[in-house]
Amino acid sequence: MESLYIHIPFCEKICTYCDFAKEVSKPFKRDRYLAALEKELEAHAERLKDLRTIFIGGGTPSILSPTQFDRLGGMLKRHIPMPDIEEFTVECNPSDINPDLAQKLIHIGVNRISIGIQTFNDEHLAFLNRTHRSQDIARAVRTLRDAGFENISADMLFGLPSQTMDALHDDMNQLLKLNVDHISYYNLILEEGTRLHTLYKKGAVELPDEDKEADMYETVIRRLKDSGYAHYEISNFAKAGKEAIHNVRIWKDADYLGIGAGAHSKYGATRYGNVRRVTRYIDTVLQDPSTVREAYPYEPVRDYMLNGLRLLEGISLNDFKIRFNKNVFDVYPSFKRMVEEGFLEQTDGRLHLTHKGLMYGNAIFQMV
Amino acid sequence: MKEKDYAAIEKRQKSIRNFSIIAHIDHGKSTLADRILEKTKSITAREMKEQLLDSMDLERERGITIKLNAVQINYEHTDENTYTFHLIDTPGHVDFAYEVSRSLAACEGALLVVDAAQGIEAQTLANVYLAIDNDLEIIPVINKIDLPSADVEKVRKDIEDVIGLDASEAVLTSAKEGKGIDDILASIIDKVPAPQGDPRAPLKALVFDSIYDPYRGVIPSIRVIEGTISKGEVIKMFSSGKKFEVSEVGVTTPKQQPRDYLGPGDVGYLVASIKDVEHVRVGDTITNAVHPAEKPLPGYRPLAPMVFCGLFPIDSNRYNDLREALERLKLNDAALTYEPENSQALGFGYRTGFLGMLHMEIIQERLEREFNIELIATAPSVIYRVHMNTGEMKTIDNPSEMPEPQYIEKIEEPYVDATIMCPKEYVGNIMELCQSKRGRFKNMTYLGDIRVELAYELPLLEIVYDFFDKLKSSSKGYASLDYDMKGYMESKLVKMDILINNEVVDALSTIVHKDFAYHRGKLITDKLKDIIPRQMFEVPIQASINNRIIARSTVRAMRKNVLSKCYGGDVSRKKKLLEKQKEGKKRMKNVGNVEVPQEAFLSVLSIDED
Repeated sequence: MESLYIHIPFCEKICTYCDFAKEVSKPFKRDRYLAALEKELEAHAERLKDLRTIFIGGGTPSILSPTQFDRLGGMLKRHIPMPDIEEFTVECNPSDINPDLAQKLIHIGVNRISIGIQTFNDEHLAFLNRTHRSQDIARAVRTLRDAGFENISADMLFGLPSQTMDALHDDMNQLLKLNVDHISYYNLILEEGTRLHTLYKKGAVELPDEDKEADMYETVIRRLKDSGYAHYEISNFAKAGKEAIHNVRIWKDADYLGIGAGAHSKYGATRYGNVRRVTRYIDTVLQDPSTVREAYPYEPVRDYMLNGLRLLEGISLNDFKIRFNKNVFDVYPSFKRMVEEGFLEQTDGRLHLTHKGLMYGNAIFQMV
Repeated sequence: MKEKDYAAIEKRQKSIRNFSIIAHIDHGKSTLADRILEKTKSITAREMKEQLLDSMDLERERGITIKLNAVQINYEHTDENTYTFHLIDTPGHVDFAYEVSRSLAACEGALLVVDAAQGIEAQTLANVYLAIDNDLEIIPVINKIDLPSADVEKVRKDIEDVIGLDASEAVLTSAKEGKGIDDILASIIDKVPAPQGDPRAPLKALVFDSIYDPYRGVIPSIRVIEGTISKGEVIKMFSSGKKFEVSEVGVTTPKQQPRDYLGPGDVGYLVASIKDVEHVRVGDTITNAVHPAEKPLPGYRPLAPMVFCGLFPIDSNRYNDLREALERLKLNDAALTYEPENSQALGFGYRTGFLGMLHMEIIQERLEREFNIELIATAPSVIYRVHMNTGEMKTIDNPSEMPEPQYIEKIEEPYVDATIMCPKEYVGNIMELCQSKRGRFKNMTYLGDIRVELAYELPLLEIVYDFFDKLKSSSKGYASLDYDMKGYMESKLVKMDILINNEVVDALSTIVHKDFAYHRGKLITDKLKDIIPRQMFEVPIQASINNRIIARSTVRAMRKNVLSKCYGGDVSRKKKLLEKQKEGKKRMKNVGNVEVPQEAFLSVLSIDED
């Protein structure tokens, strides 16, 4: 397969809103974890011959020490034909970025950095329990540019507790100044089991209502488009040619391997989810890597639609027909009404969400 | 048949004591009943379950007794005689006032239990007066004296001032700690008279409850007033004239224990292969078919449902399940009626009749809980009399059946004579409330220095809506309500329709008084606007009378419903969220392309007028 995801579940602090597999732990545990990762990677080496993209996410991958990055780079080299890799992304926290780290990343073949900015507002950053402050951000981007990175993506959030429209414009002003290549701008989601959820249930925080969130989403789309970013997925924007190759492949329903605690995979018409708890992940993998993942159903047509319609270019009607030997509108008769009512549109043999449809994505996905 | 030993019957009769317990919710009725059973060793510890008399889960949760129960207790007194007590439990809500009165009619005495910290509460009053009306000996019991906030003297004074009973000899108890139970039992023996009644006279037995047994049919709970009843005799129901052969008589301890016969004062059950609950009417008199009594016992009133609503399964495939569930409930509940109804908005369901709002809520809850049928209930209605231009009169219990106004000469609605008792400081509030509920003032009487009795004529419909709750809140719970049907009176009534997305939703139509229509229309449309979730398009909600819009509000279009997060390739998360949203939709009805939640159909009922 062509895509590999590696999860690094370690953080210095836990963000208020995060519900991914992660933990705050001592550095020596990270070494044990890397050992487990290599064992898991080794177990799947056969699948990695044609690999084109690597994405290391977290947690906080940038928490790893230079030695640990060397080790990570080493294991990738041993099992993967690194010269064939088109895109190799690592998620970094702004506060972790320094010239040494940047050099180290380049050294192991990284060519794209996804930098977790979320917001430039120090109060919001403090509330979200992020490690960085606004002053770290521009410096981090400059460091990356100086090191030679030509593909930098920024992760942003809107719909933060008590965030005003003015605060959003402030964030966007500063973001646009950075002139990054790619932007993921997510609506903050309240996830069960997070600190934010507890606070919200207690009534301690207030989240923007649906109208305000809708206004914010529209503002994000409009301003990013006006500044030369193409809106190519519900939450993703890119300058020409800088779309995230790794993610686009996944949205187009390609196979991918995920390794590490809580990582998900899809191959052989099956989906897999790894054990989420870090200690259990390590112990299980070191014993028998094949027992760390649990299969769950892959629903070819539905998954193809759920992912494909996230992309603004939508799905190819012809490709659908070739894959499933059926017409989209026969499988989903309600789509005809969605087209009539302007939620979906057919352009050049593709079926895709309209701007209006974008705002009601879930209502359409429910029909799938 | 064995010759009856009347002397023995008469002797035993002297040792019988029949009593009820009257108490406000939470004042400890069930705990007290449990302690009495425990003290008299009526049940073993193993059989002892918390609050035994309230056997249905729903009763236990709501802290109220719905189904009446009676239990026989044998008590060895310190005077070395053994006494037979019958404890007859009563429900505690105005909906069941008639059943309460019949249970009380089966007793010679009642324990009035008052919480030592709370004092007398309104609910208790109506039942105390029912007991006084039935000539019962009332023994005041001040309970929960162990509470730090207990004030026995104040409660004593309360009982004397508010009810007018001598409380100097009130029994002091803590049912929770088992204190004072012996005193209660002694006082029952001393004060409650033994039942009168000639065992040689023709049989007169009062029916005060019934249960349904799938193998033995309807089993009435009876109190023998005069004469005797035994196995093999043929009995006759006074109200219907139906005859049945008795196959078993017995007492409840609380298990059913067969006996050779029941005599005057006995409280027990009889089995006579009675198939239909219709034939066992609470308040009816059972007599001997061969030697019938001349007259029935006084006070019988056939139970007629007063309140109607449509019940529709949310999942229309469960229509047959709903029918079966109603059939099952009906076996045990003569007051429940139902017939098929078809709504454009809600599909197939049943028009169902109840004694009152609590009865309605209980049945709905039992259908949902015991039979797992999710329901949509429409706003309750009463029975209207519609006089047509042609001179014909139609009775209507469903607003959707209301004829077009041009054919109607006049409409009459049922009124009640309501008696409200309250401390005098709330008179102003309550008069205001009655006024806003279209009440006609009749009379006001001071009962002593503190309490006032107000008499009003009120439309039954208003009582059915939220009068009781409003009465409670405007009197801090101190006002009590009792009412009797008065009859029909002409009213300026109109049918008000509700349109969602420009379509009339038949299940939301109500009958309202013309002068109140605009106000109520505005309240309902506003309320629906808040209840109906935003859809992908704007939804107008209108109230109309005679096709003329009188009120309108708008559910604004949903702005967004989008999940932007990637979840790192974990599609299952996204699917879960979509499932959750879909699940929520399933509980709604699609009306005019709009997803309308269940509660919307009751919103017409619970609007806050303030």
